[in-house]
Amino acid sequence: MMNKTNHIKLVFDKATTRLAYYPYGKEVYEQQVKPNIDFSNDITYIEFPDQIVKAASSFVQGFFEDIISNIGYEAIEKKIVILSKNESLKSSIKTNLIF
Amino acid sequence: MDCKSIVTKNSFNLNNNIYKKHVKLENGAIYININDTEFNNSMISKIIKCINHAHKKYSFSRLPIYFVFQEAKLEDKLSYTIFECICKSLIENYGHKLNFCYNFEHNIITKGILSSPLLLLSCNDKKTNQKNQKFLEKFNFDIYRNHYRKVLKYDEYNSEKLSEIYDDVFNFQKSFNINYECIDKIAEVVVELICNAIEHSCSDCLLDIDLAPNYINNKTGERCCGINITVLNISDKLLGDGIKEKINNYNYMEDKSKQRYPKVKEAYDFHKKCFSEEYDEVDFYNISAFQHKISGRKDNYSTGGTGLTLLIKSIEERADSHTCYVITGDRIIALLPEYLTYDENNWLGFNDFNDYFKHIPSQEIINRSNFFFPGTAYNLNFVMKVNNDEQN
Repeated sequence: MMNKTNHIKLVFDKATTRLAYYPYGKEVYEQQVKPNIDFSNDITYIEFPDQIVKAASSFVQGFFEDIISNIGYEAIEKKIVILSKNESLKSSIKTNLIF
Repeated sequence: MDCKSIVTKNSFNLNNNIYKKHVKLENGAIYININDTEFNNSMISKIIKCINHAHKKYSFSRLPIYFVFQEAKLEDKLSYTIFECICKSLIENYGHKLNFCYNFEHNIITKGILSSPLLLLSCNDKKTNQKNQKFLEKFNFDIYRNHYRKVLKYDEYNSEKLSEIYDDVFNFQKSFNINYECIDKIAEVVVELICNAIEHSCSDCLLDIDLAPNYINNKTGERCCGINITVLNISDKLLGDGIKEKINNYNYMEDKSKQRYPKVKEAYDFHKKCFSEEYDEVDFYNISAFQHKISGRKDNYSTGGTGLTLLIKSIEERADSHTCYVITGDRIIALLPEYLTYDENNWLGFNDFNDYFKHIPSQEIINRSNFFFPGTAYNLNFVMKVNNDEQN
């Protein structure tokens, strides 16, 4: 049986390379992710644009709060895949979620 | 940014006799003479008391004030930054014209005094009106060479604009050839402190960073650079207030993790048995504000706590030397790397046992301020090794 997936491409101001602030993380989630995410899917791909190199803990917490409330910390690694050409971004999100 | 409360919150317990000798009226101006040789928390306290004494004695007249300092060694960046805030209030709220006679000794962690707005108030400059106006302008904004300073207005920065500051702080440090990972972490620490100030206290935030390049470490002979940072906000809400409120109104139904917040209460129940004059409930909630996944943010239980101490510790460990502390209300919390290790469950004991639940913090961590700071202010001084010979 095929995995059910969806793919969400995030959009930010071109000049922004680093993300911070809990309310801003929530806002991006509410505006760009929430309308498109289906937690019953097996995998959701969330793609950050190439210019984004880092996300501070506050942004990550705001962005993932609703996701954690819905599927819990444990399922995040299986069900949410962050797509970015920057390893530093993927690593900052992972570290800030675990820590 | 309303700095008036730094003066007004410290207007009690004035012993006029003690400060009489420091405050004089001469030729229609108030002279405040400070003879201390170290510009630190204690000196700030004395300055505030002198100001309050002068206000009481001269009935809030708008007389010019001359601050006359003898030769004094600046101890850290935050002390003179708080003095800048006091000067702002005296000009803006009390209508004084200020003059500043000084002879300060500075070093790698206090070299930022050379780009401080205080220098605009110099006694040598007789154009009092202009220099006081210039002081206020520079207090709010100054980006030039080694100095980055901004007052971030709550209304303007309660948004995605904080990501711009994150970029700015990173890029500002880039040309000084400091290790990439360090400047990356410093930028994150700075932006998280600002985010906390703006989000939790709903107040403006002052950020001041100066870089002091071209120093040599006497022990290693290597080139090094001072990275000196203050982040402060003025607010009725102090560092531990949000956590205290949240623990006191803990909502078991809303907390899906059902683990961390009840543990803080468990720790509190132990700590309260050890409360004394030196360590009390305020200190407990202050250190609890630094715990992993504990946040004063309302309606949030699943995330929160930004791992700031871990970041600060990792920068301190890479630094040749460091002075990091936070002042909130009349409390000072020293951020010493030896006490910033999380246990296996990510709790921070701030003690030799690394145990948040059965031991109170080390005496080295908890200190009292000589004056009440109405808000939260961080002093972060790092001396970092420089990568190569190229330096600004």
